[in-house]
Amino acid sequence: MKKAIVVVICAALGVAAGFVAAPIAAEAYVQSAEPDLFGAFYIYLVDSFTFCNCDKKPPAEMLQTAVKSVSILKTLHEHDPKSQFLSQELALTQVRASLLEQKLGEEQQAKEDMKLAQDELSALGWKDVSPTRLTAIVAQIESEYGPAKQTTSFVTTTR
Amino acid sequence: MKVMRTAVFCLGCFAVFVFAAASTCFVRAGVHSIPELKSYDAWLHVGDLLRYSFLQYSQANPDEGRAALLEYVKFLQRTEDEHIRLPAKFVHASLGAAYLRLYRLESSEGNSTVAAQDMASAQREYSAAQLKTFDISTEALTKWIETDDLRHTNLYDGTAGTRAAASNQGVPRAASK
Repeated sequence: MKKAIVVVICAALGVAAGFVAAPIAAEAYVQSAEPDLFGAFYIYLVDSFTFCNCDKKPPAEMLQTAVKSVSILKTLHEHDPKSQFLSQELALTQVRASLLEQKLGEEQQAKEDMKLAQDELSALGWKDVSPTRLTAIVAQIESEYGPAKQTTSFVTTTR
Repeated sequence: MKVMRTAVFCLGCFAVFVFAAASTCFVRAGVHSIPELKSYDAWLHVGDLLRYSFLQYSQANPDEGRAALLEYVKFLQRTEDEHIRLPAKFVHASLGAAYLRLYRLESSEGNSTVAAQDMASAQREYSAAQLKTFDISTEALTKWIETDDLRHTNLYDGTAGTRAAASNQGVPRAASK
């Protein structure tokens, strides 16, 4: 009888452990089997941190985030150099970094980043890559990432 | 001998634990966690691809715009093929809008045969979306996509202020709910 109880307890503990481990295993599975889908989550995070000043951070802190985002996107792009989607993401993040640098008086760096973004977008076939146009586009993206952005309420998630 | 028996029993208990954990993990991950994660990631990716394709379509040359729209269409079709859980109305209406943009693009390039195919695909998708108050005649859809494109182009050009529900871009209001 005692032995049976011990076996049942072991089984119950196993069920509990499996229940807790399932989301982690799922994450690992999706990461390895669907890298593009999994990457979408990271890109969304990068975009959110870059374009949404939800915490009302000072420009210097936002610039740090944007620079970090540029570095992450560059790494992702190195893994998938043919992705035009990543090229566009990278370029628009560079525009965002350039605008913040301008705000902080780092004119030279701002110019360099804007130039990199313009080159990237020209390579993507963009017809007008003037700073005015790119600033307007980034302003629109920032507005999309405000607190009410992408109400994903129809999909509940474990994240 | 007693030690041996205890060791075998412990090993048996461990095996029961591992089996119970593995089977629960397998079932929960397969039935719940993986589909949920995939649908969440797909939802985020649809949003990203929507913006990417619209910007390529509105800012880049026709070839780049076409390639981006087709990438967006391909991803939406993949969500259907792989049964990734996204609201069917949303997927159909998003596909409809993407085909309408392809229609506009091909029309402006003078590819009337391809444009007609795109319009037929758009109508098929809107029909599948079952939007009760949405007119899917060629004239109505052409007018609708022109207005919608103009609205969003103005937003990205900064000529209409900011703050748009860009996540609903190109998708009739009824479908995004």
